Amino acid sequence: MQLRDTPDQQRFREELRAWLRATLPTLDPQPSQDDWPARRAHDSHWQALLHQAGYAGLNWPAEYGGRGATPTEHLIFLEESELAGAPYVGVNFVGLLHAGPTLIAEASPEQRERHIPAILRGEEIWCQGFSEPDAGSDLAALRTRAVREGAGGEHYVVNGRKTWTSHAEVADYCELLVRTGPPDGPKHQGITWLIMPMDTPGVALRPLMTAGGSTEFSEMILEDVRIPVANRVGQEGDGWRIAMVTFAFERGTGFVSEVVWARRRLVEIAALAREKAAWEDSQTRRRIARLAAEFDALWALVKRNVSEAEHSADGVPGPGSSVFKLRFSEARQHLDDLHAEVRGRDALAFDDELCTYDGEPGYERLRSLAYTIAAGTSQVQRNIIGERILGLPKEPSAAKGGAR
Amino acid sequence: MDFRPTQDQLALAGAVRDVLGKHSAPGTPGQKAPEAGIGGVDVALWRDLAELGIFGVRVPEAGGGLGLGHAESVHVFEELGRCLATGPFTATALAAPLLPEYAGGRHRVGFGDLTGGEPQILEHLDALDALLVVETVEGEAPGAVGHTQVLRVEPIELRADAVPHPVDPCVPLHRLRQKPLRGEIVGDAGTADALLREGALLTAAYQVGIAAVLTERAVAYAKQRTQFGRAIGSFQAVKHLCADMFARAELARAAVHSAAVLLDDEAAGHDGADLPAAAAAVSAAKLLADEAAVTNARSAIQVHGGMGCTWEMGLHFHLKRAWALSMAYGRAAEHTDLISESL
Ligand SMILES: Cc1cc2nc3c(=O)[nH]c(=O)nc-3n(C[C@H](O)[C@H](O)[C@H](O)COP(=O)(O)OP(=O)(O)OC[C@H]3O[C@@H](n4cnc5c(N)ncnc54)[C@H](O)[C@@H]3O)c2cc1C
Repeated sequence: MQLRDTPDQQRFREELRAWLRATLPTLDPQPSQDDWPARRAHDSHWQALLHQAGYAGLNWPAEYGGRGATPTEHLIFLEESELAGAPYVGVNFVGLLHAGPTLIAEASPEQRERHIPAILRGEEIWCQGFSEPDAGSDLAALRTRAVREGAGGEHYVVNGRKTWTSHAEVADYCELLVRTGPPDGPKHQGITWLIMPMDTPGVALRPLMTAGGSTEFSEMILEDVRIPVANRVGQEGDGWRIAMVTFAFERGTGFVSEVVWARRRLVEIAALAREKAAWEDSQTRRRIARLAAEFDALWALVKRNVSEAEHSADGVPGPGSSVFKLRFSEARQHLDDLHAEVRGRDALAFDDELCTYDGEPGYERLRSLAYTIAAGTSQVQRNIIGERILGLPKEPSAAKGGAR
Repeated sequence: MDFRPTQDQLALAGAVRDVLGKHSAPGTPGQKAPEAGIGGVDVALWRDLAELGIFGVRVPEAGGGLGLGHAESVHVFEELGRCLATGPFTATALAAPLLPEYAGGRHRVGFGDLTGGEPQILEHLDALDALLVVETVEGEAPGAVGHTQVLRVEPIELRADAVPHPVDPCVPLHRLRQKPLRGEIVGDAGTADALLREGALLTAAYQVGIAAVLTERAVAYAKQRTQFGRAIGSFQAVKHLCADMFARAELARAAVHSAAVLLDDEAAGHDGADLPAAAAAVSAAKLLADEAAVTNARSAIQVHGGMGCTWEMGLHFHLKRAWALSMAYGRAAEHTDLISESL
């Protein structure tokens, strides 16, 4: 049981630090969350720089253009990037953190060849078309239909409605879950995972505004969208299993570097509290300290999970990530509330221009509302811990298959 | 980095678990309840654990110890907590690296922190061979600052009254009637800090044991007890209590392990290791482990329904011990203050 870097890890960390020190000052400031073309340009530029320096797809196998780094090196990368204030994955979230890893695990050689290098270079943006208006936690209830058509059945014709599709406005491709089985058949068995080019005729977007006032996600209406059968990942009807692989990646590493961010933020909040005399209030001071303990423990838990992943056979994150997701998302909301409390009424007075920037505390507080909902709600995480880790019996009504 | 427990650490924990399994612990269901005043040290258990070397874990091999670190100690103490083992384990293990004659566990050493304004209550006094006391001595001149030191006191010389009904019936308490104490000075303020810090770490590990075993008991009961024709564990209200218990114990254990490793690194003088950071990590561990033990005890009682409130079910022993330990080696307020200094 130890936390120190090996000499190799130490070297990796130092090289990375030097590169970040040299590279970060060359970046333009973060654009506003509302300016999608600028966000895409900014995030893609950063990804391209990572790629040139050999830091793209760090933990992806070398044969797919990754660096083949160990989970620990990947963690060092996330930690150091965040400490240095590097941009987060941003619009590359889906491609890098779950669509890409899913393609590596499940797609055909041609599909990997087509998409993986482009994702790594920051040239291809992905979004996730899983949720529907009537299929959220109960994702397997999804109804978007795909019917085979064409002389040899070479196309799926897709009709339906997806929702909460983050980054849809800038995405080139979508990981799309559709129903290929009969609408009244067994719900988990008729689902298929497709790669949908976003410029296919019949795809219409209706941006949805978040509580934070930005257009983070969209409703996606699909009318007679023709998707080549060659874009199917895995077998027809095997999409549920593949979606579970996608989720394992999404929850496994998706939020890890935010712990580092949150811990830094807490130090800023402490400094602000000292400046504003809120520090004299022992209640406030102790709540800040309690939260520091929580984030440090979460970081220790991440290291435990990473150490286990490094020595596991398949490298797919296990259900232990649900413990992390549950506690992190709640701690993250406490952090933003505490920040608002320390700022006092300033937290109520938004500067219109600034309030949609990453890091702006008012914006972050509103954005963090989604943390206990997106990527599986806190209730769903508790079900997963209760059923898959502790082995408690399922709810009778949900007994035929799990939730998102 | 490899944060997984090593095979040796797991083997040590397993050996402790085996010994504990041979003795009946008060938290076991169906166990005959100890009455007030008949708790205290199980001498046979103490002897068997001493034979394993658990008191000298951090004493060098040349001094008759195991020559290991905090990372090993926390595994031992989590096992003690799982079985709610009763006795001055923490204080004796703390005393051993300081005073090597205690490494073998032939003596039982108690601990008293008399620096605060708290009522001065001592545990297991009748069973002790020695008592370490942390106290603040007033300055000689008027207005002079005092200094903190560690005293070794002969328990037999103390004037103290037995508390008739300690909340935890397994741990006899005495109320001290005497100040100043007479004894031999065995350490300065730095030693006192180290004792309190290491005591907090071992106590936190013990609390993780309590939190973890209660999760297991609640889950087992929720699978077996049926109401409305189905296992109560299928009701989300119950399932989610259990999931939160699990998450609490896991997070607290990660905090305890990380604090142990940081303290060991500091002791070994590794690059980048520093005492304030390690001390803050210990405080974080104690804070989260106290919370996990106390909250999980309440949740376990809730999951067991009316049975949970009975003496026979024994869950009250866990809650009472968790309460007592959350007041030992620094409470939430002191640990949060210590963490806040590091921010
Ligand atoms: C910011 C944001 C970004 C998102 N991005 C995407 C995206 O890019 N692509 C995508 O496909 N989806 C995305 N989502 C959708 C997200 O995955 C869903 O919102 C989530 O899975 C919950 O589904 P729902 O909103 O339909 O809520 P519902 O499932 O209707 O849940 C409503 C409430 O009921 C509770 N509930 C539901 N079922 C159970 C149960 N079995 N037990 C206990 N409680 C239950 C929930 O916990 C919740 O409190 C995003 C969501 C947000 C907020």
